[in-house]
Amino acid sequence: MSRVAPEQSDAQDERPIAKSSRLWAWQHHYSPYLFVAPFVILFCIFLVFPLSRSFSLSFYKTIGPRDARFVGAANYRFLLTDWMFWLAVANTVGYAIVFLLIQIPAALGLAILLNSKHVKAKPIFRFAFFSTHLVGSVFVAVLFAQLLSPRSGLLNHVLSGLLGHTVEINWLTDQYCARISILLAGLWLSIGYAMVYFLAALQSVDTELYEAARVDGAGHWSQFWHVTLPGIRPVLIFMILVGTIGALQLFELPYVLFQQSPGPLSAGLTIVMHLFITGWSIGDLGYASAIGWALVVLIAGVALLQWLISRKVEAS
Amino acid sequence: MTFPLGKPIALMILAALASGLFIASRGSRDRADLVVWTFADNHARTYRGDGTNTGPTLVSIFRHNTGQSVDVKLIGGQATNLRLNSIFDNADSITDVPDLVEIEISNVGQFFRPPVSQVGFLPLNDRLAKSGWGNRIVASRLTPWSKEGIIFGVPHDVHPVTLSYRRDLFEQAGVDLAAARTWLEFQEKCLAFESYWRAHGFPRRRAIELPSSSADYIIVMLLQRHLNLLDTDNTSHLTDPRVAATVEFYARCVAGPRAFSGDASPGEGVWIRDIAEGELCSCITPDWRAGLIKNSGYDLRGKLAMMPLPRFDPTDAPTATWGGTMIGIPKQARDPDKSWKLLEHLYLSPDGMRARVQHSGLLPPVIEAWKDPIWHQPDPYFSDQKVGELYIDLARQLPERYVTPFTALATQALTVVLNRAVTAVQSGDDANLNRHLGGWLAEADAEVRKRIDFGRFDE
Amino acid sequence: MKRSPLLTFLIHVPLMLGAIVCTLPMLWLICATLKSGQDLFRYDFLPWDHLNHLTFDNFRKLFAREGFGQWLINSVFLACTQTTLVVALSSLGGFALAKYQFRGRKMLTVVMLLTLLLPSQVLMPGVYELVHKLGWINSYAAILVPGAVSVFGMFLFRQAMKTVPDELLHAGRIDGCSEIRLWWDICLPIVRPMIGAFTLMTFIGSWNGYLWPQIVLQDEAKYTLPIGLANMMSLPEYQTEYGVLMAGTLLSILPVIVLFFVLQKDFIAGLSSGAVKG
Repeated sequence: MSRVAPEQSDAQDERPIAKSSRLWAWQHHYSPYLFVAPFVILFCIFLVFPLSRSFSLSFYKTIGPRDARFVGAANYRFLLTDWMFWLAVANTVGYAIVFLLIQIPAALGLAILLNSKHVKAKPIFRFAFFSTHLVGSVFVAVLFAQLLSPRSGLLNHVLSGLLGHTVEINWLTDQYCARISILLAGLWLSIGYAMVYFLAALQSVDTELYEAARVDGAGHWSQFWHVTLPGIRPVLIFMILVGTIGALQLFELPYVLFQQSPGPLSAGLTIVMHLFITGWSIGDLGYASAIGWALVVLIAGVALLQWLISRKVEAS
Repeated sequence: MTFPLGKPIALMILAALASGLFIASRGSRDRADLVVWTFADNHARTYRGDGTNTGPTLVSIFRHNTGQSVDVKLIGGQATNLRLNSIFDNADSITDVPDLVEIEISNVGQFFRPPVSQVGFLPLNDRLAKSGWGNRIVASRLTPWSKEGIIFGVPHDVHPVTLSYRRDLFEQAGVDLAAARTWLEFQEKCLAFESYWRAHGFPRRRAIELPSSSADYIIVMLLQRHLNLLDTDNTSHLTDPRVAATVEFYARCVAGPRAFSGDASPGEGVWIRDIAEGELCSCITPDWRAGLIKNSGYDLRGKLAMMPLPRFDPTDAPTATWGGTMIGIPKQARDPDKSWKLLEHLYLSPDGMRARVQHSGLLPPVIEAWKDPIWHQPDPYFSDQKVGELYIDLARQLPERYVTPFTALATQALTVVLNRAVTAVQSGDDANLNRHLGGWLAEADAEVRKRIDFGRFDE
Repeated sequence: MKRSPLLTFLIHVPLMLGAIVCTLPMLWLICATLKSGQDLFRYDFLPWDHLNHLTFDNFRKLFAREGFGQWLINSVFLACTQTTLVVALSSLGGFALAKYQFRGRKMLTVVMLLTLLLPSQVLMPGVYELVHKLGWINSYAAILVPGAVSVFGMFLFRQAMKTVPDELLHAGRIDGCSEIRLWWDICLPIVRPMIGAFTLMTFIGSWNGYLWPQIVLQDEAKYTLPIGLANMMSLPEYQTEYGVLMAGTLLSILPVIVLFFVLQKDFIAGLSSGAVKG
């Protein structure tokens, strides 16, 4: 697919542009600026300013209203020795990795299955998967507290039935099971959502390409690898990137799941939760801002890594 | 398919126009004379009714008496904190300052972070003294809402803590639980209870609900011993030997060969079901928790009984406190005297008491209100025990509780220590547990001190 | 094309399992709205012993509370307006990013990416202060103006617009189309599936939006549905009326469900005929 910029193709094309009035030329040149102008203006006001505020705040210690003192890098130095921060990093990164390893293939797989011509009643399935995204995290918390209850919860009942003996796993009060519970709830909430995007991407792939591949004798797997994947590559890469960022910023789900606490032995403590508790329970906005910026660095590093990898894959 | 942005967007534009017109045609109300912020739906219902009940509400009574309108705003906890902090930070922000604010005990710590003179709430010591309410409120209930002796809020409740148990099941097992005066006796009786039921077909029946990975009930036990992890000036008591002893005892209750407790899921209704079905046979109940059992719909009438908490030492209190709400006046409120009048009406007046009983059934912190006959009825749920009187008796012996910005941190550090103890007991490697605990608590103490010092300036 | 029954079966098994797992909670929700407060947590789905105790009481109490109807209208207004703004601006911006080389494009992309990295909690105090200074506290402008741009949307449309063939754009320019007409007449129809999916997602996000509106809106008459409902819930001490909360949750989901069903073809439309193949 041609990636040549309009200006360049003009130079190569032989046909001249029919109407080259000044107004047309003006709008042709300035359109992109106009198109992104709303974003840029709002962005400067509502993102750049609070951003710089929070950045400068991270170098201060706030002891009370109207009493903030400049402490240089003290917040960041403390961050390095803060075991709760590093626990939060471990929790968050671990969650992100496992979450994505399951969510992306599962959502893509479901989308492919659903896209197949063998499936009737597509709308019903689509709706069923998608409905999980409609409810908020508050509902999820109430619901999962019921489902994951050790003695009377549905999950343990099902497991007991499958395994043949009574299962009383403490899903929400054991520190290791709690992490699994967060994963389960997170996946339940978001697989349908990712599936919808993948479905849209799959349906944008030109069916003629499949025809051509079949004519060349390619089997299902080969078609997938050589037609489907390249066809949805931009969306796939994007979903992975956004999914990573979203997972690294996880906060609300564990917070409501554990009744506004970090969970058993802080199993549910994510970086943003640590930020939130520091800023709003203890009241130290300066340190909270420092945590926020540490997270930014982490996400930037991960995103950069993913982008580099995706460039390499594209180049090959 | 003529609209390139799609039919959904086209529909949305129409819907936005229609609803927008509707909204624009709605007038806006003037600010009421007094504004109250609360975070709990049932407090809001107590003050302004819920649309279904007849009769005057507290708000309408106040208007009738003083001619001033009151607006009760229900605001979530996080939004309240953000807005309050923004208000306290900006000296000239008069417009959206509420006249009264309710704060929950787990949220109040951050407002005590500044030096006492800069706390955003108005000190209430002189008003309490002048109006005489200071003597009529349970003194120990004022401490969570104070910093270094300055009182910033009036308590909403007392929340004394008792132990509720399945009297029918304990009787069947031949165990008289209420006779247990100390925690060790309590443990013996529970073990006897469990062995009875193991022999009679209920091997999974546990004697009490105690979480194995949360230190909340250890805090309750420490409060009984008049120990706060952090005092109001942030002095840490983590290395007090009684803390190690309590943690050791608790760890042996939830793990190891002499354990007799089980976990329940967080979340409402779950543990009540366990109690109703006899899987967990007792639980620690502040008054609000007992209320939850009664409203849960299980028919447990006559099956439950209540007892004061067992103790470790004779000087311990037979109760502690758990949870709570205060109401405070921001320093920047427009007219603190008017705020105070409304506060008295909502929290301390006979009308206020009556409404509170109707909507929440919680024991108020005002001593003379305890004379109300409603607190002296036999409770059919608790086998006709006069539960109200028990709570009143315990309320008089309530230990003092302090809340600082670092209380949550200290509790978390304690939870880590508990976890290590539980692991040791589970693996049988607990011969020197007490000594190990001393070491772990010293580590936790150092960690907490490090954070407290980090959050402090040299004054 | 032969239909292999085995293949059909194999395809349907994971789909069915997944569908059941996803819809079970919905059933729970519907049952919860009909149970009395006392039965709510006692029975997993329906109180089979005494089905005659099922009641509409929760809905009655919900409507008796002041504000539910208002919350609904407020939510409709905010969600529709915000979605329209976001989709329009994002597709426009994505188009510019994908198909033009303009000065500052690289830097803009980088900066946009950086904003994705930030947790919103870090920004909230600053934005609140700003909104306060602008006098937009308690007005819908505080939600709509900052909420009109979506970096996520810009990127999504950038990716989608990349699939628009440059030959078409060039042909359009030769015919004298203005750039904005290129966007409107050529690009938008091609990326229709993405518009559909993104519209739905944005609408849901805006409809369920809770954190920021709760901070900014101060009159209960201006609250949106999620705020009104979430305020009903507190820590266990405060005796939440769960039945009413569930009824409210169900009613707040219904409009989105209706929207989805009525418009699902448009949401997840196949490629329109003509543009690329012809």
